Amino acid sequence: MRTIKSKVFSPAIRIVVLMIITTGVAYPLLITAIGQTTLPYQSNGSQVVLNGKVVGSELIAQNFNSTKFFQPRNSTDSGSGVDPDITPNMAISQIPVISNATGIPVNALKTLVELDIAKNKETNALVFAPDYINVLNLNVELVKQYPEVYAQEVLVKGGT
Amino acid sequence: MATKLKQAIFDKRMLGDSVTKLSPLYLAKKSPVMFTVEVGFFLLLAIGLLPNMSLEFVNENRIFYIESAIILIVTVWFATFSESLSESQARAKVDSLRNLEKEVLAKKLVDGKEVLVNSANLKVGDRVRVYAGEIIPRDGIVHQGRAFIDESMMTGESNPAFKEKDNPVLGGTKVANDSIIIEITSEAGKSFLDEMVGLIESAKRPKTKNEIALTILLAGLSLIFIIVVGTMLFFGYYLGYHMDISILVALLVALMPTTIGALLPAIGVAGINRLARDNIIVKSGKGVEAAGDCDILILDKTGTITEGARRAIAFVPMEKFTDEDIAQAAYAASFSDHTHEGTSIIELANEKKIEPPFMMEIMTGKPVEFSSETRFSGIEFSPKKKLSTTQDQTLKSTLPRTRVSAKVEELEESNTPVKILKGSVEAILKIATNVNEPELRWKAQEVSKSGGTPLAVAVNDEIIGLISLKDTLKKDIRTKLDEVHVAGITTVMITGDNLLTAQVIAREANIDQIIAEAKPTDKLNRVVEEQLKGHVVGMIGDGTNDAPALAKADIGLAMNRGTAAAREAANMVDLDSDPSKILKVIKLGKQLLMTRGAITTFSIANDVAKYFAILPAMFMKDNPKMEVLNVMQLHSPESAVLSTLIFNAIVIPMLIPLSLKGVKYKPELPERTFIKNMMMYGVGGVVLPFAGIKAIDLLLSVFMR
Amino acid sequence: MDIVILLVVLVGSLGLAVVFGRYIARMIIYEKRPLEKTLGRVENGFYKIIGVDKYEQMTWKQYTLALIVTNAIAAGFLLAVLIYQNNLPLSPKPGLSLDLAFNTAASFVTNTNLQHYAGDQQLSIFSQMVGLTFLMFVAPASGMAAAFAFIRGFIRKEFGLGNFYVDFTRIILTLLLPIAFFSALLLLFLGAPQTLDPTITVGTLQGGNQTITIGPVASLESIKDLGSNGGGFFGANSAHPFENPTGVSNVFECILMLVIPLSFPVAYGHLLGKGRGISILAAMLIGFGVMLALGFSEQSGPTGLETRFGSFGSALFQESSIATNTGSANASLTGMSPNAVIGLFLGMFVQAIPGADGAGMMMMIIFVILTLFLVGLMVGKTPEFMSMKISPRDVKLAAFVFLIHPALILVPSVLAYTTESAQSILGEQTTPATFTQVLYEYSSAAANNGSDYLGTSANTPFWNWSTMAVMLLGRYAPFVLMLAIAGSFTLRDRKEVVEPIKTSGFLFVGVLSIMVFVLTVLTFFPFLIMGPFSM
Repeated sequence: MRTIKSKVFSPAIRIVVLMIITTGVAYPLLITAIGQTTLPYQSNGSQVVLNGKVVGSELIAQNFNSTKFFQPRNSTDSGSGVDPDITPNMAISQIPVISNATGIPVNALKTLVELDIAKNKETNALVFAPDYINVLNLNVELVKQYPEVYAQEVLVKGGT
Repeated sequence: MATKLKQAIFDKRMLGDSVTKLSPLYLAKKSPVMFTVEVGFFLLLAIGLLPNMSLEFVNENRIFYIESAIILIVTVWFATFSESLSESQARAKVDSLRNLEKEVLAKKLVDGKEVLVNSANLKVGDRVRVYAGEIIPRDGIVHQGRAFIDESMMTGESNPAFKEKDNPVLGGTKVANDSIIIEITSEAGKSFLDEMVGLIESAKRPKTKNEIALTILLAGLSLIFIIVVGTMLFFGYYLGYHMDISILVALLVALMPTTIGALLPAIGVAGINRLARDNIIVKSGKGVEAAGDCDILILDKTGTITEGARRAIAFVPMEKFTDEDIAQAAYAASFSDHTHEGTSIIELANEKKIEPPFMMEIMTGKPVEFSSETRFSGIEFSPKKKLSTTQDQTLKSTLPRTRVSAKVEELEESNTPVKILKGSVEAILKIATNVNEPELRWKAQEVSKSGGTPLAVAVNDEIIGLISLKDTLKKDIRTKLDEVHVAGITTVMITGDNLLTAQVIAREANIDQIIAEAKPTDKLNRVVEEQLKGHVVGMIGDGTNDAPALAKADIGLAMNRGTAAAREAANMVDLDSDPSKILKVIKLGKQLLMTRGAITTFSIANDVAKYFAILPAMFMKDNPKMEVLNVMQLHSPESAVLSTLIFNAIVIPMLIPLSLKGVKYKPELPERTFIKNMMMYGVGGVVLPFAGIKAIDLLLSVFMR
Repeated sequence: MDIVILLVVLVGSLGLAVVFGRYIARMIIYEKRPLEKTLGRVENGFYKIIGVDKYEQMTWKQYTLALIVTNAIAAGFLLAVLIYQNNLPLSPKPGLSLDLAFNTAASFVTNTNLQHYAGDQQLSIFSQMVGLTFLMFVAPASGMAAAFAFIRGFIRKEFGLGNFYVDFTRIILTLLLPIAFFSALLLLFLGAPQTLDPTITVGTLQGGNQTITIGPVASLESIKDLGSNGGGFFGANSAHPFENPTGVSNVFECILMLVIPLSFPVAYGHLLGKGRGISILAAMLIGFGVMLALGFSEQSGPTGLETRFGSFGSALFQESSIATNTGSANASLTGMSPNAVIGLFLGMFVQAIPGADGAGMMMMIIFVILTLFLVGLMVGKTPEFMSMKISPRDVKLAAFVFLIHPALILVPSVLAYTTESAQSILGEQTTPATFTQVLYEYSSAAANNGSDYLGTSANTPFWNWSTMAVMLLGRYAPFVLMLAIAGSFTLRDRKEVVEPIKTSGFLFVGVLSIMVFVLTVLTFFPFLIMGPFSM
């Protein structure tokens, strides 16, 4: 009994403690330290900034209830429920509604959609993902391009 | 074969036996697969017979349950029948072999008189007299006399061994000259036929390692299918299918490897039986199974590879003489030698159309017998008596005069007796000194190099030349050994000959390795050495010397004419004492395993079709999507179940001949064998039941409804 | 484009497998590794603290015991962390219920990572980092150590199977940790967050507030994929953009999952003959190829899929994840096509194409042994493996390994129905779809896969306890049986002679693949028919 205790349990407990320290504490903390110092944008959730204010995470879908914005997928339609992206078809089908609501020409909207697709293509080294549109990025771009159109929407939250 | 089968079928003992084996207790112990089928039988029979069963899982007509139950019990009976059939065949063979067991008559000395007794009745301490040409009945020691003993069948040493008082002699060896009295020192061997009976009687039959492994694998597969079918019942129920217990039992029986499960015992016994048909008695199943794995075969030269009897193949004259000279001298020296060797010398001379001109002298001359002291033999004649000149003239005119005939004439004229003798080079050198000795020795070595044994021939003190004697290869041995090589087996030849001679024979017979100038312990050493390297070693033996090696070898085949010790030690005994039969044993060992493998593969491959027969029957009524699976388009769910079960059952008797005869084995690359068997039993096993079940279904559909 | 993705995944994982396979081979036979001196010095420090003599060799029983005891202690630690996380630092959350905590501890220590909880909502940062991340090293290291011992059984003679503590230390320190480290940095670069904060709150474009769960994701994500673990930081697993932000990260994670399982046949080839290694690798890839073909044969989604991955990227990830028994998911299973789901089942039924880190290789060798048994018979030789005779005991143990798997899947599934536990979470009416979910749950648990349909809905005592039992049995019972086989093989005589049938080359690969396929399909065919086929 004594031998089992000293030959099996004692090294097992010690190795577990050592590995908790190594893999459960030191390893994630080291990654955190490196991440926070060298890649703060990604480390903190890829936050999108507009006019000096954080307006969301590039990677997480957010709701838009105004028809002036592109809409993300219904949260339950995707795998994650927070899919930030839509397909080109989904984006293009929304263009007439947005154009109506904002008065922005359809062609201008189309161009912005295509620019976003191109940007995402770059992110994915051209071949590693199908074409898609990041809804938040596209909407931020709309606000940037047509501040006067979105003055009301963005002003409302300007104070906070 | 057909009549034999008929006899076997009507053999009451066998039939009774096959029914007795239906006992669930027997099956539970011997064949878990068939036991499960029998449980299915009892289950369905109970449902069919008990009145008013109305359960969730019992929806079919009562007749249908009884029909299914009958097919199941017939399936089990087919299994027990095949086992009983092969047992009864083997039993019949044992009976016939009992008559064959060879015994020799021995001349036992009782109060100084010779009494003829059967060798089996000799006891330790008995003394027997053995004359030249007779077989020593049992192991013993020389009590009186001295003799040369031909032990070639035991030791492979083709030169006779000299034995005198207190030297041990081996049973089965042959006294070459003189006569000796031997005191028996060993007990009669216990009859190994009794051991074979133990191997074929089911109650005593031990399973071999491989059978155990296969049985476990089959049991494992069966257990998996029991779980599969058992849980299907529940899932089907919850998914809203109308599951019937009979269909589930049918699916289970169909999926379980019943074919191999049924035939496994028969295959093993049939292997033993097939060897017995070749007069080989098997004492343990292990040896037969190992035979299939044999990759090193240790063979004695004499008796296995060569005939064991040397023949003259060439005459080699000394420089002073011609071919005719030596041929004439050899002829004369062998004239009264009626041994195999002697006759072969005369034949060789005849072939060369050479005959001595002094025939008359030879015919009237006095033979010089071979003796243990002198170790030569030949002929001796006194100076020619005056014969009629005419006769003399005729002889002289028809035959060319040679130096030898001149020498003979010369001797006769000087009134010196003429002695023409042959013997080993050493023996002849002792009596004949008029020779260029280096030349003689060099020529003798040349003879050895070509695989022969040199005999010197002398006329009085002058050596004329040499006779080259050579052991000839056994008929077909080359072909047989070529087959052995194709099967991936390395051959080792063991011989008492010198390396030169051994190499020649090895080259001629296509032997891979040789152990020359072998000592008795060499065999055992080699066996152990090869086994340490992981080889499976097969060997043949018959002498007491061989017993340890035979016992150690994986496949030990003893010759029946060998000593009791050898037969005890070996796991097989050949009643015909034909060493080349070990090749048959190896082939059979392979066949045995291949038959098991083939039927196992067939059994598993059958499952594919069976799924396609039964699953639609089970699900289609409730789930139209299953229509896709209904590739067989069977008549009705009931006929699908019955025809699958019938197919499953009749496959067993259909494969009985294959189990008894074994899968064909051809020496070839294992890859090729594998592909062939896989095509035949794997692919065939997938295809056949589709056709078979469909055919039975078509037949049944005529009777149903 | 799709073909490029596929090629990059296959070439990338195979290329890395060649490098790591060679390295693993060196680890198995204690050959000199790159940087041996430095590594040796660090390891020696560990051995000193652990108190083991690195030269001491263990029998199969000692090795198995050390593995199980170490695993039990690690699982016990996680159990305590999960139950008492409310008292622990870093964003404490309520402790888990006993059954859920036990299930989760068993799940992570067995390399399963079946998740009956939503990590982002129910676990504290401490639990995720110190608890789960730590166990994500322990589980694959144990599986690989077992495989090391198993392989040594065939190449060593009477010399023990190695030292568990030494193997475990070396695997973590010199293989898993360095790869995980660099992979974490790459994932970080691609967008996976790494912070000790549990959430960030942002004002949305339209003025609302959005609270986003965050944490040390990158460090967990890399070992999650590398170690065949699969337990996501988020409930949505690799579908969540923080775990798998882009198409590039998707491809990288696929490679990460495949690399170690594919390294083992390479290592095997270095140790036991190149041809043999390549043949086993080929058989694994053929099986994996069948899964991929099923996955690509029908369009999946778009419902349940992530836009950035599409049907192809989702099917590729799912099949890779299930094939390696990682069990992570980049899409909801309900979004996958029936054919793709059949492919997933296939991977979980076989467990060896290529299977989890270490465990997959062991399983494949069991298949090889059974194949050789039949092949040997077919050519008239008593069966042997690596020139050693296969004994009845080996066949018995191998048969048990096979029997355990369907038994662990099918019997508990029946229990789930008879106890009404399945109906209570999936509805009274059993349909092929809900049956598929039940079958999938236990297949995943028994294969130590961790992929699941049920998710948090299975957080009931029945499902927690029953899947816990299945995971433990599905992991340790085969380990014990397989190490017992290896233990007896070390005592066996080896030949220097030719094999009856070469265990390399096309013929062998073909036979092995057919054998794997036939044994699996014969066992599970009816259930695939009743489940996904009828959906």
